[in-house]
Amino acid sequence: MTRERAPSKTTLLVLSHLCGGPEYGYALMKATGLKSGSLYPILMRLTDRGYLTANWEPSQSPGRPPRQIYKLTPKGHAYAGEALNPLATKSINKGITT
Amino acid sequence: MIFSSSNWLQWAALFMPENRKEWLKAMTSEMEQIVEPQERQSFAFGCFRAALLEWPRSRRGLSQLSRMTGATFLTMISLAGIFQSYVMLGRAETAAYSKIIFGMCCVYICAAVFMITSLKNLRAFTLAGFSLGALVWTYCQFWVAGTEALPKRFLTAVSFEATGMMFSLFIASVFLGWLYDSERSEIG
Repeated sequence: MTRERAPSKTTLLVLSHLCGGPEYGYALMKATGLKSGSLYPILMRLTDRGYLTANWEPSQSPGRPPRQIYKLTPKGHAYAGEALNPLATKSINKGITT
Repeated sequence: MIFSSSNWLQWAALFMPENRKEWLKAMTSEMEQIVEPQERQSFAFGCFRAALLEWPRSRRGLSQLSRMTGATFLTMISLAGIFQSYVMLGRAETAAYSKIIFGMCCVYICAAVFMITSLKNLRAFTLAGFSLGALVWTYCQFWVAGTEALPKRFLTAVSFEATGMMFSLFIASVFLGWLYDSERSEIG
């Protein structure tokens, strides 16, 4: 049985930055302040669940290998919207207008 | 530095599961963008940490195996305890002991069942058991005088043992839940 848990604070942090547009891993690390050991497991989980795509792009610096860029899918955007704004979701579910 | 950044990546490659090798390639290529050696070292160590976390998660059988083994062990010692308590029940001087041991063994069998069926329930059950055991131990240690049938030493020893067992099971359930709970926590 699969159970959907509420995302952790670090996952919410990553989602909030990815809502602004696609990011490379290192840039995401710098933006969120997370270490690679914390960031990449989150990116793996989000990709596994279809919230994120990871695509290879040629490096902007000559002589450097291609890099992966991470982008939220439409499902990921909906998930991020709901996760980052739980109060609005709860209010809507209770039938209260905000 | 004990290990260089490339050492950490080599170690990460050893542990990263096959279906995650693409991620390791991504991390390696991302590290090529980093110039500062200290930062490269830290990044590479993070990659190793990520690989260490993925290794047991890719082996779900480990979770099942550890839970089945734990539950089997717990059931076997509980059944031994129940058998011993049945033997002791026949003697007047040990009849009171046997009831307490029987009760404890039944609690352990419940814990064994939860260990197989639901880590979440095991967590709640062992937390409650540990809290109650700690209270009982404190009560027995400082307030109970004991009787001839149930000496104080026996009561404090039994409550201490039960508290320790519940605490160990609680820690195990939290650890296993943390390790494998990204997708599921119940079997099936």
